[in-house]
Amino acid sequence: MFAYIIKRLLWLIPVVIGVSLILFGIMQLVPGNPAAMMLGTNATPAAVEALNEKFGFNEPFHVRYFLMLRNFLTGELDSIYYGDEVINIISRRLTATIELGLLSMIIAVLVAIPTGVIAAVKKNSLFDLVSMFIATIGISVPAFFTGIIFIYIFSVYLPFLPSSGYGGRIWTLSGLRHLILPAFALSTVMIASTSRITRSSMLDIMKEDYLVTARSKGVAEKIIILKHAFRNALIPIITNIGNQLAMMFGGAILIESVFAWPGVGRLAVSAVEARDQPLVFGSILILSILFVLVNLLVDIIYVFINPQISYK
Amino acid sequence: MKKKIILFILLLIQIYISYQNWIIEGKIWSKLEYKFATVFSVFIIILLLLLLLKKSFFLKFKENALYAKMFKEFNKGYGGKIAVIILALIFYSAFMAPFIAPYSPTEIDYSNMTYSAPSLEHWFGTDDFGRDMFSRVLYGARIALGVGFAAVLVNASLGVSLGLLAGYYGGKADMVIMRLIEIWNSIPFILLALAIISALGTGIFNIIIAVGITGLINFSRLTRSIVLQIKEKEYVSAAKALGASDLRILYNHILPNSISSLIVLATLRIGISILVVAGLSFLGLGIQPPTAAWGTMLNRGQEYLIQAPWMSIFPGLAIIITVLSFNLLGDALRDALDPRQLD
Amino acid sequence: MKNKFLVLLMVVLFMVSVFSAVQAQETERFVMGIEDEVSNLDPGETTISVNERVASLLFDGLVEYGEANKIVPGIAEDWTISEDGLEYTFNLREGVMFHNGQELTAEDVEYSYQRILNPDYGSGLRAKIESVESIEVLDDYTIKFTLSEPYAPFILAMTFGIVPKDYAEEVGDEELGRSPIGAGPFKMEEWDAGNQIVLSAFEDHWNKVPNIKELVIRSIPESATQAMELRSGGIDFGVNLDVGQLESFTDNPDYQVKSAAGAGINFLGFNFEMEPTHERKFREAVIQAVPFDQIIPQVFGILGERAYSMLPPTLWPEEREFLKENAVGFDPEAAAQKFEELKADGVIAEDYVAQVYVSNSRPNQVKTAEAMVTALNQAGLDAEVQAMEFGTMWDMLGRGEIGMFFLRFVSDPDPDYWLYRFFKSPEEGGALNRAFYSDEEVDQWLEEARAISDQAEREELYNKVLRKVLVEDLVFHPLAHSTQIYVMQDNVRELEPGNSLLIPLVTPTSNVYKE
Repeated sequence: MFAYIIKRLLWLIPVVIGVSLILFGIMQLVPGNPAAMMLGTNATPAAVEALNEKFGFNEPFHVRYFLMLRNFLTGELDSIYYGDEVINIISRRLTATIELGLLSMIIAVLVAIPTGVIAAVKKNSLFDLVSMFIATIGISVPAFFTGIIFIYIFSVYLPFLPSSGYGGRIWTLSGLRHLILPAFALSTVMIASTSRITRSSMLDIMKEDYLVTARSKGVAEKIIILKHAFRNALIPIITNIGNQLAMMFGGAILIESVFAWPGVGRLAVSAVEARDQPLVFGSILILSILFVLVNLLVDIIYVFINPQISYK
Repeated sequence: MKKKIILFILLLIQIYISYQNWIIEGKIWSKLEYKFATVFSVFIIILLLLLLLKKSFFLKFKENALYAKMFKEFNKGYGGKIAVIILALIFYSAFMAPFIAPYSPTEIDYSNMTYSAPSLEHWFGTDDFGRDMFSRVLYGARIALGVGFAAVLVNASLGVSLGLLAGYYGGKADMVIMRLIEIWNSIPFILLALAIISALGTGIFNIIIAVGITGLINFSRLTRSIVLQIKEKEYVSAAKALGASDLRILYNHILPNSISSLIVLATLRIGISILVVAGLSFLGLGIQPPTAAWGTMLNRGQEYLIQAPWMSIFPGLAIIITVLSFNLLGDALRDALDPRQLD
Repeated sequence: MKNKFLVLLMVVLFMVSVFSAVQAQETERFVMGIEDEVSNLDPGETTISVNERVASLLFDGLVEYGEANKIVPGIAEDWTISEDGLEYTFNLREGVMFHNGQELTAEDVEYSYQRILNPDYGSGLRAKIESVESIEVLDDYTIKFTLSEPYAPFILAMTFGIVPKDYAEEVGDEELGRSPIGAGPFKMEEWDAGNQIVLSAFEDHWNKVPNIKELVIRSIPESATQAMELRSGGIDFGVNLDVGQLESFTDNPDYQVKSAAGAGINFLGFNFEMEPTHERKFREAVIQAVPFDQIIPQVFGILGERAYSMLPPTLWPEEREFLKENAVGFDPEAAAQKFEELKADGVIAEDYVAQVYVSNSRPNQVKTAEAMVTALNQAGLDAEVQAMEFGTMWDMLGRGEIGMFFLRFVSDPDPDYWLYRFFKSPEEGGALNRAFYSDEEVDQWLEEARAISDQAEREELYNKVLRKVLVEDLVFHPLAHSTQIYVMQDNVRELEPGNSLLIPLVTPTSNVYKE
């Protein structure tokens, strides 16, 4: 197990190199330079040139790439736009992103798994049809639209919750209140897809022979469902949650914009817009590393759920 | 009999629409969009005539046991049927928009540039430029379907070929390809699309590329796993033993066997692509105005959410209904085409 | 006796009422929304609009903008300008304190300006004080700037924020941008990056102690969200709303919507080095084809006013009437005919599709472009909108790859800042001459106008320039002056829009509070 984790962590090295090459390549293709963006419409060409020189923007391609990669690894990468170390800028926002992702996941799990299990057990009942229909709608709505509608309903029309912004850490009341709306808006897709997966994998499992045997032996239905079926159905569910969670850290960009949430996704978007290459580099690399780590975590959880799986 | 009457009425409607446009308004061949609509209405008329007069034409399909079984599975739930009907309507409006839209989607009456609520003249109201929302939503179907299909086509052809290569050759090729795809996948797709569009510029073609090359992992993983399963089957080993070339095996044996799962995935991906394009419009990188596109319209409508909610409700509903139909269709197809049932 | 008692009573009552009025004006907490994230608050580097505005609360300059953007004394009590316009001598007030308790002296002023002048520092403000030859500290409270050549708008550069020399040298430029210390009315309390900035009233300010004790500045990039925040009471004051959202506030008694002529100009530009935009006939036809007079009011609403000059209405060359009367008007038939002739002459190529470039972060411009393209198509010229990210567009503009474009420009209140950069030949310092327009006469007028200090003479020269470029040569077509719109809760007092480079919470004429 330990060796497996080490192996997976080593996998981060090619990921960092690959992602950084891709990013750096694409950023080369993107027209515009950070100095011109920073100085705005009032800048003289001389000032732009001076600033480009200062940031080493005039160096050849490979020199800049290796410099950037080295600085990223040693934590010395400096953002152009913010005039601060990328690691500082990101670490302030990373907690916000992780809090948002985690709470959405918790909401999604609490809502989706019971729904999916009940829908599977009572297949073709009214509950099944209605909940699955709602779930299918859930994955069909553009996320930013959900966000705006949520704000309008829960913050303006029924003034329960603050409409936007970050209110503090998740354990403070204000922090939690600010977090609820974006987390719900973000979790709709995850609720929808998780409940659909839960239902279908439960249905698959309940067809299996050993459950039929158990049933014929007279084991109580509740025990069959919870102990045997659900446990075995968990694997695809967790795979899906892992995928969704990983998507969330990067895909929350639209929700972060709507709710003025200070997360890494929004930071990356504004970094691309400001042509702040070191920050684009740093923030997207961090998101990619997070993605790999979440997937590793999912694999480890498999082992705890199903001891038959072992990684060597 | 009842079916025949319905078909006959549909035929009359179609002929009436064509008559109005071709004879009265002279819209036949002068613009590209008219050409499409003309060809499409001829196609619809022929189809309806065939259905009315030559029933046997379609019976052939029903006789095939495999299709019959699929058909039965597909008809079990309501979801699939409803989705097919809605999607047929959306396709119809996409092709026929120039013939059935009551107003032009782009022209502006400069003396009357303001929004108005839904009324008898404007079923969905008008937008802040005084353009008819109903016509714009109809025209928007073309962009949504066009971009959705094209993006998935790009996505599928790249993903499937990579998956085929990885699965069929196995070993090192497999490892390298799949690892590369995983790396590609670990970059958040919206950021990737954002960077690509910033580099290439906006425009429908670039949007298709940007959406098409993100999320390759779905198609390639699926294809690879199917290939791995099939590769071990006897007939493939037999073909190999007989000296069939790699390409031939891929084409003759593996692709046909994976097509059903791929169709299901593609159906679901079309919905996702439509959503991604809408998301890009939110970042200001969607389809260029004045072209009528749902995502762009929805984003514009946000500004008037309080005073003119119809400006966001109708394009929003159009997106939701279309994506929902694709998802329902995908689910129904999954049940109907389930390989385990077809074997 | 009785009278005396009454008088005393009245005095007491008066005092109480005055006191209670003062008491009532103190506002515990004031929350405002801005449209972007603040990245750096170093006043020497702040060429990004939101940074500049927030920094203006933390730092004070030698002079300030007063009513109608007149220059009034700030940290400098008074100043003298030598006859030849080359020497500016400022007398500083005594006892002006920085937030860290140090006194502001001429040394700090010198340091603040030398820093910007240093080319290695790479400040975008440098262009405005490039003509400075030397800065001399005469004593603790007197400082003299010597220019190499007369430069009329120089005094505007004296609004730059003064930084404390000791502190800046100790912590370095980067840290100064993150933990700013100035002599402005507010001081930094907490900076929660990407989310909000909390400032508090600086009680030892040399002039006015703000009524607002705690100021929270939140960055809310989505205008729809900002509108929702105003509705839910999350913010007291917002600046970034689109036309559609504004409409729902204007007739709502719970909100005040205030407007002031803004300093920004939205305009349509043409490239003089590309075909067919090079042809005057083509440019004229494009302008004639589009009913801008009808589109602008609809698209900009209260956010803009139809423009006929490049200079904002608040700025002095008063040439608007002439420019308006001689502007090219809407005449679709004439336009259609011109397009046909141009096509017949081969000026417009067979497969030419006019591309109108616009930044996607400016919804009003995108809408104008949309309506314009529709009108061009109706007049028989194939046209498309290219709404792209500003960074990409700006780069393409610089390389001269764009034929028709929409831009918005904001600058300080002196015509030189505007016209010189736009219309001076690119080789000769027209830094913003994205039209690649070059005309000897115009070059000469612009050069002359910056060297003389008599306003009437300068006005005449600038009028000549405007007539030449806007009426005769049709280099740019002005579309709309952006109006500054403030939306606030109905209990906010004394908050008046004025200078778009500031947040006017504490100005020489006002001190904002909540009732």
